[in-house]
Amino acid sequence: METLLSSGYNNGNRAFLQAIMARGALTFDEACPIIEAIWEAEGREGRHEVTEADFGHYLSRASEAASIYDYEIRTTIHQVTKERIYAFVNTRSDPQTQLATTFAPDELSFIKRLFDAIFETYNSPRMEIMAITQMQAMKVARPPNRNQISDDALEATQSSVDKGLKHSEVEATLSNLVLGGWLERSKDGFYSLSPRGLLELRPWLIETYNDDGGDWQRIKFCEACKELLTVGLRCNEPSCLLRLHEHCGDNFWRIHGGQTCPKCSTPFDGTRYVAYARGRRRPAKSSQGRRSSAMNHADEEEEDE
Amino acid sequence: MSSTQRRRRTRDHRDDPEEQERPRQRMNRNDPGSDSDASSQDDMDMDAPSATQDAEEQLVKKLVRYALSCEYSRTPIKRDGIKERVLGNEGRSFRRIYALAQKQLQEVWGMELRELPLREKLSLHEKRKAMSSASQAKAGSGTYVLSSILPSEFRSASILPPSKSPSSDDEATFIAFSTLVVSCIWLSGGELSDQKLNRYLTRLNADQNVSTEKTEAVLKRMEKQNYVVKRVDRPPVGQDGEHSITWHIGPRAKDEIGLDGVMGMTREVYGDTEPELEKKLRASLGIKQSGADAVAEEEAGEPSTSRRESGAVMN
Ligand SMILES: [Zn+2]
Ligand SMILES: [Zn+2]
Repeated sequence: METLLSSGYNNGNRAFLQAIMARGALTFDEACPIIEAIWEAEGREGRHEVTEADFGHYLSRASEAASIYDYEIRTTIHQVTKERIYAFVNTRSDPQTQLATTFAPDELSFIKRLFDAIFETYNSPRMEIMAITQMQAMKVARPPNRNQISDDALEATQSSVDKGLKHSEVEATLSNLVLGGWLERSKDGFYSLSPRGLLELRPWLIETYNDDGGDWQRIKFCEACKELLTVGLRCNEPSCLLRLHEHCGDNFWRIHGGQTCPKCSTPFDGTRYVAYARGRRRPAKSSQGRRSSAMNHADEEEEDE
Repeated sequence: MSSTQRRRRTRDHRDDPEEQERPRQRMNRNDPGSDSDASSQDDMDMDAPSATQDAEEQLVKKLVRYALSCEYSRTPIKRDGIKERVLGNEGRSFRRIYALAQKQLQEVWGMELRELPLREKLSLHEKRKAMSSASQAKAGSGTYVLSSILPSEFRSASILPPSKSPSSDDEATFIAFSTLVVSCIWLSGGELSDQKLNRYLTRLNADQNVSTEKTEAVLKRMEKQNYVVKRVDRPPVGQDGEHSITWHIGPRAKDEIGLDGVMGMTREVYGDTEPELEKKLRASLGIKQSGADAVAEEEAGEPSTSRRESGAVMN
């Protein structure tokens, strides 16, 4: 901390740290007005347009400060908007402890049921949605049959019987999860993990939902960038685990020279999706997955509104 | 110690007291990781000479993290919560750890913990009773909020959003609505009957729903987060009569919204500032002259400066 404070760490850096923490995540475009406002507050003379390098400077100071407290700023590409995101991440990656600060035990066990629904119920080999609507979330408002509960998942609540949540409490918990930066809500009402949520929960999700050595794995990764994938393309062979972000595809196929799945050799035509939004339906494109680039996709999202 | 060394050290000591003392509220079924920390227990003991200092540093860090994560989710930061979740067996060192954490919050984060004032004595009866037992007059509420201490230029909306989240529509609605309700109460002299509040809300078409949420739920949230205080008066035992419900300004509203927030809101609603409106506004708020926050403060019996106005300059 002394090093930080003795090296010109100033109110502008503090303001930026507050800004990124309050937002949970930032893109460059979102950061520009923040940095401009900071410069204005500092009364800086001869200001120029904010550059990536300026952004990088503020990020690295914030990151330095945050790391003292086991937070980190990590970067990833948003799977839907394709924008680069800088997320304020808690690296003491025990989501239970984090969530336990802000959620009551019966809410915590609801959240576990909610994650189970997202990553088990709505994430089958046939239908990889990995998202949930509010209506579907209501179905897990209460624990299943009490007799079936042998999980230590619910130990937290064993002192008092877990009666589950009322519908209004489900609504409130969902919106608190969005507020807390864990979930995102899509335009058409699907809740899915936010980029920041994915970054923070990655180890926990793998540990919880992937069986060791099983043929099928619920949590899958992009073959190109190795990041966790919840929106993107899948192999044409339903039992194959190959997944690829749309924005990672171009490079990937260029390197592999030809669109055959490197895992199972099935021809890959880029028409099968891992996705949640109904809006992702699209006119079948020719066999060129690479055509469905970020730009086209963004347009389509607009049209779907 | 360089910051890299420090970082490495803290990583190794992840098995902090929090993990050991509290039953883990793990959500996963099979928990292969839970015992893996046990081995790092040994090297902690080898640190003997600086062990106390190190332990203290860990507690300070933990308190900072706790304060940040509570604030992030608008969970009230309570003294009891700090003792239970942060200090554990070290409850006695509250003052020392608190002071150290406060310093770090100020220097690194540009924020500080502020203890909210005790709820005002609401009724005449309560006020009298409080006067006769002057003993607890000075006690704090034991509830804290984390406020920015940066100069106000660094707290503009473009730097600090009204929200804690990327999708901030709901949050903006909540802030607008709670400012509105608080303003109504403030403009009514700090106390508003339930019927009157409902009448106002009906006029604004907000008596049933606020955006997509039930009005009742939003009010409850405001109450829980200390923006408003709902007071239910029951008729004395043995007498008939209805419960009467009144709404009062909560301590958090004073800190976050403040008098200038209320005035801002009212000007916003009535359009451009007109001398006549200013006069009425000041009259309703009990302000006698311009710039009279101090007067109002005296009358309210506690600071009414808002968070936006009260930045202490650092460095
Ligand atoms: Zn990828
Ligand atoms: Zn394949």
